[in-house]
Amino acid sequence: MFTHLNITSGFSLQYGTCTIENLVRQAKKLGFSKLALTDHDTLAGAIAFAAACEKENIKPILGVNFKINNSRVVVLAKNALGFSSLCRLVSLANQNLINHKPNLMSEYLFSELKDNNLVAILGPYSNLGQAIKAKQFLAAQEILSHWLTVGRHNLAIEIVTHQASKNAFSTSNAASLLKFAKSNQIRAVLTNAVRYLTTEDARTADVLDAIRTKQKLSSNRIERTNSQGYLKNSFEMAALAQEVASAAGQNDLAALLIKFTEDLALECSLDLVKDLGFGSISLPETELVIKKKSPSAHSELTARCEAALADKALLKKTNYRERLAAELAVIAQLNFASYFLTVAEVVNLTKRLKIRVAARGSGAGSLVNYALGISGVDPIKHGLVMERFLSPLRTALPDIDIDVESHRRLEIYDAIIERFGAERAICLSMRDTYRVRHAIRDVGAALGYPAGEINVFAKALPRVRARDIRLALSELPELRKSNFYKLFIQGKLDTYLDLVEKLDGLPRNLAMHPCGIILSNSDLLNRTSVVNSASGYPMSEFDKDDVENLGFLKLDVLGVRMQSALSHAVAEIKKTENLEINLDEVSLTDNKTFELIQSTKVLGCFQIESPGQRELIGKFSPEIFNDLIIDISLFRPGPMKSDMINPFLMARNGFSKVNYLHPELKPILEETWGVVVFHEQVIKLISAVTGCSLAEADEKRRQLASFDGQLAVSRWFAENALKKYSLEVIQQIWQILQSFAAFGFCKAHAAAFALPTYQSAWLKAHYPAAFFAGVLTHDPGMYPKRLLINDAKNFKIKILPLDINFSDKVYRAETSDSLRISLSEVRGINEAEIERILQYRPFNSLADFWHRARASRPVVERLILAGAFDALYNLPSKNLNRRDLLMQLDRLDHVSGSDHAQLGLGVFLKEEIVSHKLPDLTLDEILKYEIEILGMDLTCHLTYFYKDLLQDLNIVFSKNLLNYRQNTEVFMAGVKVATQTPPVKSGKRVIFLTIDDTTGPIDAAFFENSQKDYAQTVFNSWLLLIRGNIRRTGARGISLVATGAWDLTKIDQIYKSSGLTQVKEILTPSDSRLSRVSMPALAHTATNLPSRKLWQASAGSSGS
Amino acid sequence: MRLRRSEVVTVALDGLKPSGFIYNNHKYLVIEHLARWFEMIPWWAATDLAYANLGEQEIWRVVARRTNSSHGGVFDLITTENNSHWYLSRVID
Repeated sequence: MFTHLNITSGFSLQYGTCTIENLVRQAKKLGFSKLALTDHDTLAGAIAFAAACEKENIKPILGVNFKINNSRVVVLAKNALGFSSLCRLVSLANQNLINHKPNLMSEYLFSELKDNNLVAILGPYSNLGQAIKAKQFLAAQEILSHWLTVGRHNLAIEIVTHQASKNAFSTSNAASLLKFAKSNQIRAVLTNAVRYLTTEDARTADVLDAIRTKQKLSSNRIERTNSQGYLKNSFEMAALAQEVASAAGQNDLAALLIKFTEDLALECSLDLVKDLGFGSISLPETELVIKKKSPSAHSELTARCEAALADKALLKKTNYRERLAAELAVIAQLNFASYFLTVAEVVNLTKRLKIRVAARGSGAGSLVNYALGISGVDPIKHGLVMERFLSPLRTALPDIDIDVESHRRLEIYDAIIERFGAERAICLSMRDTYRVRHAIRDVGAALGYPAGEINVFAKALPRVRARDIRLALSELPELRKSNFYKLFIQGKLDTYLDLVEKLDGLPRNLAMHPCGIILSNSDLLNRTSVVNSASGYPMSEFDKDDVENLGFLKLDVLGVRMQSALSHAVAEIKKTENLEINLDEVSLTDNKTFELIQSTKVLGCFQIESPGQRELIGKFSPEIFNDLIIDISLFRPGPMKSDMINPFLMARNGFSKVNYLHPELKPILEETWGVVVFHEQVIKLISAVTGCSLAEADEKRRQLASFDGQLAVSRWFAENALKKYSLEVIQQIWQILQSFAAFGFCKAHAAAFALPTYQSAWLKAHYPAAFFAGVLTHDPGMYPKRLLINDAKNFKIKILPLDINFSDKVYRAETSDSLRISLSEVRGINEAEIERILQYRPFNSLADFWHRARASRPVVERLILAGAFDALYNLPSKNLNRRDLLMQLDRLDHVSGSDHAQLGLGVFLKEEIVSHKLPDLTLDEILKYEIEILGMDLTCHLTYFYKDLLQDLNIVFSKNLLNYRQNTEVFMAGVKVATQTPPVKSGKRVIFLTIDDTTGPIDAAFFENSQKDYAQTVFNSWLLLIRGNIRRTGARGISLVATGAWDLTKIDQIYKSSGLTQVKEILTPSDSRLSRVSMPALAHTATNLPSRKLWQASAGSSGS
Repeated sequence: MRLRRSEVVTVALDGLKPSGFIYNNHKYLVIEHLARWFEMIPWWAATDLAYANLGEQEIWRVVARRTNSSHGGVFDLITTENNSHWYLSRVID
């Protein structure tokens, strides 16, 4: 038997050619029982490799191929301590970058080697190997004696032959090394320095060489000289041993070489549990999270929970006491007390920084989390079960994710690292892997295709898997004209496409995970290697799956813009109302809030602002907080597709009879009118019908996700169903479990999400100006800001114009019913300019502004055109307008560049602006500049210019829609704010269009029959005229089934040139000529639209 | 590492090793195998990537002597993977 001790995977970035999965699979195929992974300067693949090996029953051997100045040495771990050494060495090498590449100082390696937990394998690329290759045998002896200071048993000499001619990997060089090892009594081991799994993969290595060196492929860029560095089988390796021994003139060494290799492989085989700590759990030391007086983490946890519940006057209640005791018992059994205390500490750190924080996910099901302030949802009040989150039957750490204000997330990272120490807290990393487009570009460049053509090719390809490129090429019309298509048709693209496929899925980069933080004890840095992220935070080389295997605490700290928006709104209320609001304490039964939600005027509110949600809310009419939880659970792809919603609404609105299946099940199903919506209900149903524990019921629920699991559970369910249920009822329940288990939603998760939904609606209902200041500043939702501004106007908020003396960096509520546009909206303005404006104001003139704020000329021009100086000069006045200010700016700019300014004379500080008697800007122009500069129409709505046409056409406004009957045909007009093309039940595409007509949003659906003629208009125009039939779906639910769409500007041209009759002819159902003509969207506004979000287009799922 | 390929020769094999060949209408007998190595063909340099020979060549350096004569020398014999075609690329007399 042979074992490979030197193998690089794709984790040797831009070097190794195989994924971990393929490596282990190939090794299994060749019958290896042990296998090493020795990537270049990294352990990033180590844990995934060990886990993959275990699945195939292969013993993993872990090592690193370290760069030490101009040499490379493979270092293997003999045991757990050796793995720790490797972690430290990789971290150290990453602190010493040379040309951005890690480089290990040999002193560090020598000192670790002396501890007898590592073995260094000196091969052809080591300093020893290089000396022997150069036939400098005296130098080689000297180098060896230096290595020998670490102990002979911690060394081996690596014999490699790729049967190349003359180079380091030639048989003759291997023979020289073998003879040297023999004469110096150092054990020699045979490897194949594996870089690719099969000879066919060798070309991938060449392409990676070219990519790494950013050069076209050429012989002097290529490392390999032949294709022999593949994963050879035992026989092939034995033959190589023979060949080298024979070349060395000592045939008997062949067997010895194989034996030494196998001995070393045995010595370095690692045990996942014993050596790597798989399945263990390592939390920060208890002392860190408990008070000195506490005897244990558990007693501390118990005391804190009891005190908190007593504070909330809940400890007196038996059900709370019992639930707390039950949860604490499970936590004690699993020994997780310090986990909860640690998470609580992180939440407290966040709160101390005055950053909003909320738990998301199943964690909201735990009373302990509620008591500790980790979650803001009372689980007993909402019927949440702990077992969905934490179960005695699962020993892995439960997941607690916390949502925080997005713009302050890094502050929390800093606080965590400071509190727990850099030796216990680091960031999580994630792997950026090669995708098709990257691969197309990189391989194309390596093969020397013209950059322009590659670019076109890569851009035109949709997001497909590499193996589907050929299909895409043969089907995509936009690729027809490309050279690549011609080559493809001629079959000349095969090599290229094969290589693209080989690169697909290889690691490309290690990046900081967007939200994961790792916490562990002070041994953390001995169990993971650490590198610096691009932003300077230390991060583990391991990803989330690795970290779970190693048992570190992983906390997801997610930045949520809505939390930032809520926080901003609360700060604005403090200012305008002098009122300190604690959002987490507001009553969840506020009438005004539910009235707002029922009115569906919920633009800007968390989770419920999308067209689909507004429609659902209109039908559903949520009345209590629990309704919001149900609403969020229903509005997801699963329930939407499986049509859970209609039966639910029928029962809820009293159109159909509620069926509880059995009187005893009523308490479980009552809250959702007999329809199973939540995981928690599935768990309770299983438990009620079979008599098993909730924990066991949750295990069964998880099994229901797969078909095999369903089979297993169905037998168990039938056997254990209690006598009191009839066979018929049991069958009915089973039917429901089977069909809804996959679609149900975790109620705890929905409840956690419903909280910010409610809070945002509460703010909108009570403090709209502050609310809009929050959402406009942090932009958490899907709509363009211009729609939110219009919405604010409809909420009777006065929009105050941009003003150099009053506008801030963020949106400000100046009073309880006015809102000031922020400076950040000005196109092209930068942070420094804003800071200077805030620092130096008030300004008493344009000259004053020009000299002190020192904003760039284009920015000042935009400020003038957007009206930021109007208040200062009382514009528009009889003698002066914005054009005069522009002329003045021109003079200022001219003088700045001249001697006056350089002499610092400040000549123009007390300027008088001269009137040039120019006509003021027209309304058209004003609007054009507002859209260009601020991205919004403030002075008047964009449809204002078409008011005559719209009046003549009897256009219906959004706010009046409710006065019309089902199926009435109406015309509506407005500005596009969103298009969505979600997957729907029937599988046919539906385009959902939202337009805004100043009185509110209108949602129109284009079904297949209207898409052929109008889809292009919908996607390509901005101002739209819509014809459709009214569809009423409940008390407030209303939308439009569109039967036509036209570009409003084009229709208006016809109106102005040919009159109303002509227009009406075009708008009659049979004719759709105009809609097919693609045309520029804007007549009144600039043709060069600013590159900001004026509408949102997404393929968003119906649940997003 | 230039693609070296010249005259086609017929080679007799002893297992995988060449034992003799016919060159210039003369029969040569291999007396000694000096070396054997593998070389890649620069596949990316082929004029037409699709038809490029993507394999590599195996090279045997042998000492060979003409039968019934003292005439001989060092020869490089080249074959691609399947040993079906052999080429003689270098002769050192």
